[in-house]
Amino acid sequence: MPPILSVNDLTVTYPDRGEASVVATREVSFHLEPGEILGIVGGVGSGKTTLIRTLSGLLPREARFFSGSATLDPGAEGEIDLIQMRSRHWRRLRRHRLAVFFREVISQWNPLRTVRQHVRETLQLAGRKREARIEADWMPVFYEVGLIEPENLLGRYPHQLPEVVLLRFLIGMALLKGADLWIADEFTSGLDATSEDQILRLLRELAEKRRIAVLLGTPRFGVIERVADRVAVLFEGGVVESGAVLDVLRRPKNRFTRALLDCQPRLGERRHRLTEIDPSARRDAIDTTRGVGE
Amino acid sequence: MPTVHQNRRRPKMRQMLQQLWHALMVGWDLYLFAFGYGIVFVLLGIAAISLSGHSMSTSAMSDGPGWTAPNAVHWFGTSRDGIDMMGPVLHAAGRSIWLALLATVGGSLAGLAVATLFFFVWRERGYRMLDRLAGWGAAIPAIFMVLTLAAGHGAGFGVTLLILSGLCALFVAGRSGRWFHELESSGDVLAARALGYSRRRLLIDHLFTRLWKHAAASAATLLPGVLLAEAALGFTGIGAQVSPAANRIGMLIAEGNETLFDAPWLVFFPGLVLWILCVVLATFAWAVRRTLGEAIDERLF
Amino acid sequence: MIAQLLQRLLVLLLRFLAVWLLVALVVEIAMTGPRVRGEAVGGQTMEIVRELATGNLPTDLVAVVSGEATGVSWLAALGKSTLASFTVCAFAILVMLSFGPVFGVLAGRYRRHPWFEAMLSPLLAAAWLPGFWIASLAVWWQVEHWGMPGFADGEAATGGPMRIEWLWRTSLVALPVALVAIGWQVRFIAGTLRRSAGATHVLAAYSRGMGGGRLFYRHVFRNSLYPLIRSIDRSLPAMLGMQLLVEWAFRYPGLGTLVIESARSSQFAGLLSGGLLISTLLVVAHWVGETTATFLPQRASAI
Repeated sequence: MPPILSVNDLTVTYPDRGEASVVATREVSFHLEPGEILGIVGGVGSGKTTLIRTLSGLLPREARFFSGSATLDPGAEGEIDLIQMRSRHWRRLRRHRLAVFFREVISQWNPLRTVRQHVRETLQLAGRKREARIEADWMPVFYEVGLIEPENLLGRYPHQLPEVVLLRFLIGMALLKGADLWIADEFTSGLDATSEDQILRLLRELAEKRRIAVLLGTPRFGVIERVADRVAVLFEGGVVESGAVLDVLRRPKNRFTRALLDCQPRLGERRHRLTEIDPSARRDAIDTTRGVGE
Repeated sequence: MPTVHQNRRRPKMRQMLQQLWHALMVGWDLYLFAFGYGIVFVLLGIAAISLSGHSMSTSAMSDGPGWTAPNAVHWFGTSRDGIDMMGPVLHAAGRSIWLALLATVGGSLAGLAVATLFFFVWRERGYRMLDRLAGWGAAIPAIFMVLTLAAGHGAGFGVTLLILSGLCALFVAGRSGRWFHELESSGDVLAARALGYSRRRLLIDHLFTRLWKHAAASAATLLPGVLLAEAALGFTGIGAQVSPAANRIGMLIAEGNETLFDAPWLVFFPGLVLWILCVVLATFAWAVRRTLGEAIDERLF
Repeated sequence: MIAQLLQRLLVLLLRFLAVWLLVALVVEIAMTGPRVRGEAVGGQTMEIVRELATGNLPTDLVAVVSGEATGVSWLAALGKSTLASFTVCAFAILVMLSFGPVFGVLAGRYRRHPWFEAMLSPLLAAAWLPGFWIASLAVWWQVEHWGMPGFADGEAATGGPMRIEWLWRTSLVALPVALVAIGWQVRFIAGTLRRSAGATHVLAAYSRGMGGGRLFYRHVFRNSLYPLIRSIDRSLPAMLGMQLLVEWAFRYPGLGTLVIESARSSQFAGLLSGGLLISTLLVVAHWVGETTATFLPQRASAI
């Protein structure tokens, strides 16, 4: 199957007051197929957010592309170069095909507008004027994402609803506008364990049924294990290891990945002190991302 | 299908009005541009037309009994006694800056000291009281307070300094009460309290190390305002010293006002210097805030 | 709602009491403290400033302040000067409101264009103009053009037959005040808008493909309306304080001349009554702003 998104040797830098520049992502390569969920795992400062913002066109102005390419629909007739694209085309892409989910659910909603206004606005932007007017057409989608009596919730303001309901509405909005590439950055971080599990199941289900490609950034392997098909482990901007989830989780090749997996708490296990990542494993990871090792 | 799902048809008129409103909203900045700059250009036009009628009057810029208009030798013109004005203006500006600087620094330290006192004694209650006092101080314009206090106590450099710094202290005390309140509820201070730190060590190790940045940024922001207040005080002639008659920039402007129509440069240049100083100090304050990490990324501030 | 209003009125009354006490305290401290020099304030400078080229002090005010008058009462002088000051203040606020929000919103809207900031910079620098200096320059400019120095005659306040001229003169006192206030307001509004443009929900709306004016006016501007409305009365104390000085520089027969002349000649009555009036005006303005904000939608105040 042809991939929907293909990233090759992408390097993004932030200039640091004119002198040394900070490399945020370092020669990252991966591809994403329709109906597939790719997990990107990395801690703070691993370049996960920069990568996600690059692919959704939300990088700060001072960031610079150093090298590499990111292509939407590679090989197809209407191939789109995400790096060179003008802002006008970005806007069209965001209106129709791209859905971005940010970290805190409640902060993505304008506190002065009702849920109905948000949904209508999204549909109007996607150019579906008729559907924006007829609320009855929205309901099947909202039932599909697991909302109960959505018609009663539409008139509410965001602060009147729990986060999980707001997240379901966000997912519903992405479905309504027909986005086929979803980019999410730690989007379940504010939820409790039960809600998170429900949302991840829903995501898995939707991705398979609707052939949606999902790029999911998270610092936790637990999320990846439940939902993703493939995983890429990031450290200091570079990919340490990537592959199918089961391969990477069961048989990690890189010492850094192994150390990162060891840090995870397990059921029934008692630790007297927190696990630390061995400095040599870090060095190993740096060597791998800079092409010294292997 | 339940009835709630039915979309109610809107009256056509309302729909049209809504469309019109959307169109207006999108073109909003165009109207703002047209309105704002339109007024500016009309005013400029009126000024230009009225100026073109009477070009510069000759009586104004002619040399009077003892003075000369600004020229290549005397950039700021000369005074009644024939003295070049550049020296006195710069000297007065220097004195004004020193006075404002002393008042700001002294006032800020005094305000911080008061808030620190409440850190040991009343805590929350004290901070709230300081905040309220500073708020109510704003109900009386600062300039009125300064004028009244300075006027009642008679003339003198020291009294002016004392009163300006007192005003500064009032502002800073209110603010630092708020900082103390914020810092006391921050995570690391709570943790330190849980570890059994004494109030004194808490203050030295945790609060002052972070507070000085706030205080320095706030002092830098206050400085141009204090300079203006000082000039205003000088302008009304309060706080004058007898021996050198006009040694502050506000007083130079007040003296120049006597001969405003014959020698306008005696007013123009001191005021210009004062304005430039204020703008430079405000820009400097922004730079200081940015360096200390206190600015909120706005270049306008 | 009536209970709420009554409660607010009670708060207003308490505030009046507090502020009046504060003013009385300030004036008392000023009057009873040790004098550096026994004589009236300012020494020789006072004599010089009285005979400025920019016109003479309003005769009736001077008569009242110096205690020479027999026919004019304090109360009449106060009423007259308050009315005159109030007119100037109203003009200044009108001018400020017609310029400040426009350029403030534009500065917020075009926050990413350095050229726009360059265009605004003269307006922003106006925030640091000494008002009395601008007043002096304006007076000089006036005399150069129509040969009328100052605004010393009593007609300026009362109106009389030449209403247009009265309007013109009053607005010229108000302009230096308004110019400075505009600078402050533009900075404040632009800053507030810039801050609320950084909210995540704005980024989220942007990531849904919204942009330009629609994003700005619908999500950024509308969300910061509440703090903007609440802050209108915040610049009043500084404005009024400046007005005192500018009025005096112009020899305009308002509260400013009254207060400053009283201060210069250590007149207890003038200072106290002037201070009380000014603080009353400010407290009422603050109260009106606060009460208006109470009746805004509740969720707007939750931001």
